[in-house]
Amino acid sequence: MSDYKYKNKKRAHTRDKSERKDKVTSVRCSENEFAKIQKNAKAAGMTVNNYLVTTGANGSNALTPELMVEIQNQINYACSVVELNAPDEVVTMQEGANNLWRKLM
Amino acid sequence: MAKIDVIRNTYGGMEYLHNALAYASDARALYRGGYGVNPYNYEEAYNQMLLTRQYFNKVSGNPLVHIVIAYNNQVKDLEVAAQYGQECASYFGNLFQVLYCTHLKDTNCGCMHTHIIINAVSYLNGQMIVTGYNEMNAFCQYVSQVTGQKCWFYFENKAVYNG
Repeated sequence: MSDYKYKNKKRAHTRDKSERKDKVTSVRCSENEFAKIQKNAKAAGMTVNNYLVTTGANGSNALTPELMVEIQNQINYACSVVELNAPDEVVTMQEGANNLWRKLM
Repeated sequence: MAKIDVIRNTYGGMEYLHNALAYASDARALYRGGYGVNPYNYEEAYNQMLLTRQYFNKVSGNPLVHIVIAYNNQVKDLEVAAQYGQECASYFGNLFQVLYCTHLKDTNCGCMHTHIIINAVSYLNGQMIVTGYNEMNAFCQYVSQVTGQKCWFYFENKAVYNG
């Protein structure tokens, strides 16, 4: 019975093959650069590996989920203020936010 | 006494997330709100959660954590329940995208309750949410403070094996 549960649990949370981090590489940098990378990774709440992969993979995009969430929260607040008097404006503002979200990828 | 149901082991991948957001946005959902997502349109909220997951390359894996907070009978006013719901949802809002709504009494839950649907991937650093006993115990204490009711929580497993 316990083996049955374990098998199911493994199946549920296994990463898709395309998302597995099975490629390994090394990076050459100076002592100063490495210290900066470590500092930036710590500030972002990530490991050095995750920080380099995330910033490298999305480097050309100025938008980040963190920034988008901040924008979305401000728009949600603005919508909550105007929704009773101008419901059409809510749709327009949320559409604008959604267009920004699409630029994330 | 408030009761917190933590649904964290879910199968069905992103389809489950889509269904949960649709459930929390149906006609019964009152005082709907969100952190980091569009609370007026669940399809857009789903896409916004999906985009965050794609950014961090974590689309597969646990799609969400679904928390249901059922208040006791002392909470008779819907606005009070909605206020509690918003404050409880804000607990996760500084790290995760959240959609929440408050339901009136229904056949499944004989009291007013708030659904909180949390994207399992953090928008800040891409880390997966941790919902162990200690984390949920801390949340339970926070809910106690917000609602002024004693709280207890339990984990629910929605897993259905189809393989």
